[in-house]
Amino acid sequence: MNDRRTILTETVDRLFANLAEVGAREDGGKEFDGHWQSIEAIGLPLLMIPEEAGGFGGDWEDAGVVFRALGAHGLGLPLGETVLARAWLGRIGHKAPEGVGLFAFAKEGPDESATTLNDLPWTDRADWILLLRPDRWSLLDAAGAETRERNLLSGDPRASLVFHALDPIADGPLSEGTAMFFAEAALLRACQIAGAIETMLILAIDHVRERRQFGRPLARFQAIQHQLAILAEENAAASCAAASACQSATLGEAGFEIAAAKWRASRAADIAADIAHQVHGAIGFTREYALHAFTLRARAWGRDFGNETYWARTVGRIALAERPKPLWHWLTDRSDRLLETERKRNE
Amino acid sequence: MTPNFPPIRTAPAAAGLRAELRAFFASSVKGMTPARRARSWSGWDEEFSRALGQRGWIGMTWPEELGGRGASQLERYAVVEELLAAGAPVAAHWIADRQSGALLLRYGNEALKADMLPRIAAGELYFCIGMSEPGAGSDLASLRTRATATEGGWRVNGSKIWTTHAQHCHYMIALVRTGADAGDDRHAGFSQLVIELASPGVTVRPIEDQTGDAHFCEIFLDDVFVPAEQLLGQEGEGWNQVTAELALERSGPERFLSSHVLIEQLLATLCDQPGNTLTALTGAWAAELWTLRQMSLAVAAKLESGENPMIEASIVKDLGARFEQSVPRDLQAAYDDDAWGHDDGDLRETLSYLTAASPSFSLRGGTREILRGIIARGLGLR
Repeated sequence: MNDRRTILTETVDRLFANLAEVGAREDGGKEFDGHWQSIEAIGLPLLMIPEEAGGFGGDWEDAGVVFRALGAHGLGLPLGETVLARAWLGRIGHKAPEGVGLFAFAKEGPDESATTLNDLPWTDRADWILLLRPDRWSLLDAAGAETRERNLLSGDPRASLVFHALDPIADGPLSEGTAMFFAEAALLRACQIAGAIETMLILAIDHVRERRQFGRPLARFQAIQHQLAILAEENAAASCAAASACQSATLGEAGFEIAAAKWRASRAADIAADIAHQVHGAIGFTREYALHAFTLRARAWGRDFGNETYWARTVGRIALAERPKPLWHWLTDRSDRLLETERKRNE
Repeated sequence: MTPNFPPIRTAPAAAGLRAELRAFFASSVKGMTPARRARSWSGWDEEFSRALGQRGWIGMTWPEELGGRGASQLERYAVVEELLAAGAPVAAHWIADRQSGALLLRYGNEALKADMLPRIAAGELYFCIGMSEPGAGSDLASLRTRATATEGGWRVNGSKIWTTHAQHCHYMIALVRTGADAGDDRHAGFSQLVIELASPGVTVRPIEDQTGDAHFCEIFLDDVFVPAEQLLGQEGEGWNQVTAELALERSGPERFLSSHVLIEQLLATLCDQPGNTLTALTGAWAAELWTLRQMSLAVAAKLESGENPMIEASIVKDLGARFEQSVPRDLQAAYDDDAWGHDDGDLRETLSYLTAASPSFSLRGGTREILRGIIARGLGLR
């Protein structure tokens, strides 16, 4: 890890730990403005915007560190959403507005007058929404929609927004489609899941070492040890997949790696949450204990922007389309090519 | 700190290496039936090992004067993963290349190294691992085979079991008891000996497994003489030496590629427009394969930098075995005559072999239960 990224990691770790301490995991948005100000104070919403354009700079690997830390501290604040929406607007060639941004995907073409955007987080705190449809982008004022709240138990407030008529602040054609934006949204979630699983593992380890039953710590029971070994395996897989996909996304087109990483992370989220809850017993099921801040969010993030089945099919289509080239040849040649790009870049 | 797997930063293989290997496989491996290729690192073929040795693809990390070419661990990794993915019959030289050679290089005396390593690298000298015994499987520390000091060396008595391909091998590196019986420290008093299997007093009996292959053996050692210079490393340090060896044994690509030939065979057989189930299955396999390879490469990079990533290696092996075992099972579950395309029997035969072989994937090289115990220890639970 380079020095800059080490400093970034330590900085966000400190900031997010503080935010968690003052209630940002749980307060349902009561102190949202204060939390957001401390995030803005160190420039994080300008991540991935080039420094020469007044941004924070940083590539997907830097962003991955920040997104992972959000998950590791059980924070669902829409920082990743704002960062990506701003970065995408930059790529599209439109200056991003200030404030809290969200993004949403819709299947309908631009002629549809009424649009419903389902289950977005923090709709009442968002200033604007970047709507991406197959051939058009639109920047929407969040205030122009009817809100239908849903209690989705995803760790953060979510609601559906109904726009009876689209009256965008700005819009334009989208020549390259939405697939790459959708994949980056999935990578954001994969990183958050990886962070959340790591904390589930740490909480579970602490709990079974402290809690005694039948005269000994739970950690001494082989049945518990093996469950935690599986949790550690899932943690390792989600983490390595997310980090590898961030590396690929930094180097170039990473459609396959991101698809594989979101598949792996979504899969791990469910296995890890099941185990973490099982070894915690009843205490882990309470509001008071912190476990739900990680398990509810990880499961919701697993569903967001393509679940396990969606991404398995996507990877399957990619692999099948390469036939008759053997899967192995395709996969290793691609990996070698990506790493060669990195080597040249570092020369 | 939980176990971590930072992605590698440089391509493991020099440009052109994979192409060179694949061209070689086109003439040497491609003609074999898929069911034979599915045996891969269980497939014994001395001619193939010699051909590989001639091309410099065995012992490649060793110094040139000992038959190697001073390649990096990652370069070796690329060669090994290509061999496995192609289903090359690598069993003859496999153990010697992966771990016996590394042990000799690290602990052997100069004469032993000069004698053995070049012949291993040439694909001519084959090794097996003598760890398990009839009374010591996962509980390796309870082994009873004993070496007693004698004039000029050791006399060994006892037996070993599940010793892969011992019936064809020249040497076995055995873990034996040289000190007092287990006292408080169950891991004290062990040593590693290089035992020539043609020695008087050695009896090797192959054991047929449920697939009909006879790849593992029972070995009886009756007052077998081993010269003093064939003690590896320090007397009494056997346990630590074996532990270091196990990271080499557990993290490699053979821990997730055992069912790979079946995946390629399915892709080659499937019709043009497979349905959602088989598309998703193919995708899940490709995604897990990619993830496991990234993890395994991260461990290889740690080995290259001199670390002993025992816990990470155990994680790769347990996850890898789960994957290898799921491939034939999930394929069987998705079986659908219409989606098969044209299978003249190769696919069904490969599937049957791997279904029957798959229980061994989470037994060989350390059982699932032992691995999870090691991981739990790494997490601070034991």
